[in-house]
Amino acid sequence: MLKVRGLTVGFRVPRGILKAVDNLDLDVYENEVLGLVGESGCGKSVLAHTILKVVDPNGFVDGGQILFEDKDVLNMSHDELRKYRWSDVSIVFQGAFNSLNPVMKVFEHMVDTTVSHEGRTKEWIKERSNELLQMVRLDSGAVLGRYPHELSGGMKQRVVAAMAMLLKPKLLILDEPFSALDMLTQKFFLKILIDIRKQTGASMMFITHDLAPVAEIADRVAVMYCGVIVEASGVNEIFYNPKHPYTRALLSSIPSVVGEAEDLRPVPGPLPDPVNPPSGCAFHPRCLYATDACSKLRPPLENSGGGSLVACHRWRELR
Amino acid sequence: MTEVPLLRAESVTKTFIVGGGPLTKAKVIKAVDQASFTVEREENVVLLGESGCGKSTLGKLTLGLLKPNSGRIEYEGKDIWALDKRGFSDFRRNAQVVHQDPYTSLNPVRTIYQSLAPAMIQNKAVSAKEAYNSVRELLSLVGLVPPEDFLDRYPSRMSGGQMQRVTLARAISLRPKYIVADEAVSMLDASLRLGAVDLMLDLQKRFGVSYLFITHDFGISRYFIKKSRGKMMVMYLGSLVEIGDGDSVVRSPIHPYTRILKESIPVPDPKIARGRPIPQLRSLEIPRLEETPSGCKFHTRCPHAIDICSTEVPLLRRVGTKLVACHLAGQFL
Repeated sequence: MLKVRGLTVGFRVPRGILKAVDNLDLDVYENEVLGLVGESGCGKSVLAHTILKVVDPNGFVDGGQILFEDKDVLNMSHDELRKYRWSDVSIVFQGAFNSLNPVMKVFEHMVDTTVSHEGRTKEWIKERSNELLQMVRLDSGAVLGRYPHELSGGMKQRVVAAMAMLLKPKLLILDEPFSALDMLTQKFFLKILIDIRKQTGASMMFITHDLAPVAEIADRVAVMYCGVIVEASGVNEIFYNPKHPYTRALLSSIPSVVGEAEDLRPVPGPLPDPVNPPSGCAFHPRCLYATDACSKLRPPLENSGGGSLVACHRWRELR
Repeated sequence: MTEVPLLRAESVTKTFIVGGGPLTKAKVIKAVDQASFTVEREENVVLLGESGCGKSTLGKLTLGLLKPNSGRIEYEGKDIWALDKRGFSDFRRNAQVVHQDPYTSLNPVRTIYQSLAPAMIQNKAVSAKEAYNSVRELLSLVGLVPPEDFLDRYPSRMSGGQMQRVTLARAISLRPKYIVADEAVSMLDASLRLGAVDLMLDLQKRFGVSYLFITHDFGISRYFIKKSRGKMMVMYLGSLVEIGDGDSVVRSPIHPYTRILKESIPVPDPKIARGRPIPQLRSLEIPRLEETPSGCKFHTRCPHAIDICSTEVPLLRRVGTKLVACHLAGQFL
């Protein structure tokens, strides 16, 4: 459904050019939940913004293609973009629940979302809002007439998710949807997302720095490091049979609350500097298995069987 | 343990008054409510709770940065608010803190050397001449090698992980006996967090400090306590609800709040994660701090609550090897 090919996004910063996304390939299929996992500064949010063609003023797309159902997103006209955003692909930004307008009621937000998409009557919006708010388990009668300050953080987050689903997008992008919710609310929201997915069949791209919620919701997981996808495969494959050393290192550094959790190891070394990324494979200075070749040649993202992709020179040897 | 504990909190309560302008009525918020616990020498205590539960306030109380409304904080057997000026500054030198956000806890216009040296010189830990060498040693101790590369750097030229190491170095620079680590590793990326915990434990072995490790992260606190000696405490709306040795609180929680918290934490294992039941709560909303529920504060959300829970405050009592504040504890074992 969504094809990203060779995408490079750079930012002009005082120290030079920061390549947030570097020659990246990624696919999102119909009716799937893709978890995009990476640490801060790896470019995962920039990738999401670029998919909707909203890049900061100091950023620029430096090559590559984004195809949504064979439509070229990066070369869309203003009008086409308006139709594409929110009815094809919608996004819930990081910290989105703080982005509700404090002087607008929830229903006015819903109306506002649809303004630039013609042909929706107020009745239609009302009906659709009711349906969606029920889906996120809010009392729609009460919530629609309220102002944002009358809602708790968890409720606002659910309102924003409902807003994003209003025009029945085919792909919903969620950028760190949990970052400001407390633990009990997080769990509940995760369940709601699973429900939305079941009822609407929409695809989701779930962006997070935390591997744990991905285990519960995703069908496929893409791991990002320093602007590139280093591994992408089915969720079981990623968690039970990870191939890339970075994925392995990340998995062995999450303390779990179940089981004995004895074999934890910290990942050595600091995160890479995105303005001056390491040569070759960006992970090689921290990698336990790095050889000379790793510091010279960037490994391609290659098929490792069963629809899995991995970008590592040595994945065949590392079993 | 007949020895005097390093630090003891006894029925400590702290309230804040918020608001109270011409149009609004002042509200009283009980941030910490009758908290009692001890920190033994070279023991680690994990304080676990969700945001806004009062865990940072409790940390500040034990440092003497806030004065309790009632109750006592004792350091080496002496009430810290009854100490003379000299005794109090002695206590403050022995009790240090590492804050959550390394980006805001270092002065941006001072180099690392300028951030670390003055406190050591002022407290006569080293002479001005020796300061340079001592700071160098400190930096290599926290893994910033070679130290010469970092001495004259400004915080803006360092990563978050490196800055957090500097704040740790600063906390141990006066060789304290007690360090409050307030969400000290939460801001770090997943791949760096364990390394930072390992460093804290390594410093503990060298200098024999005790940590009060404040966090909302069940997993990391379990890693921390399993690799050291100590106990874990769970806080809900200002009250300690469960205290247990080692990682027993995570392994076999008793209090309904701790249980639900554990069930809510995502597990990095697809098969286990998908097979887990949804935690049952009576209400998803956290009560507002200015109107905490009567009796047990968790009763409005607790799936097991009975009549007594809304009328009588449960006190911490021994259940098995743990201390639990729940009327029904024991039936859950």
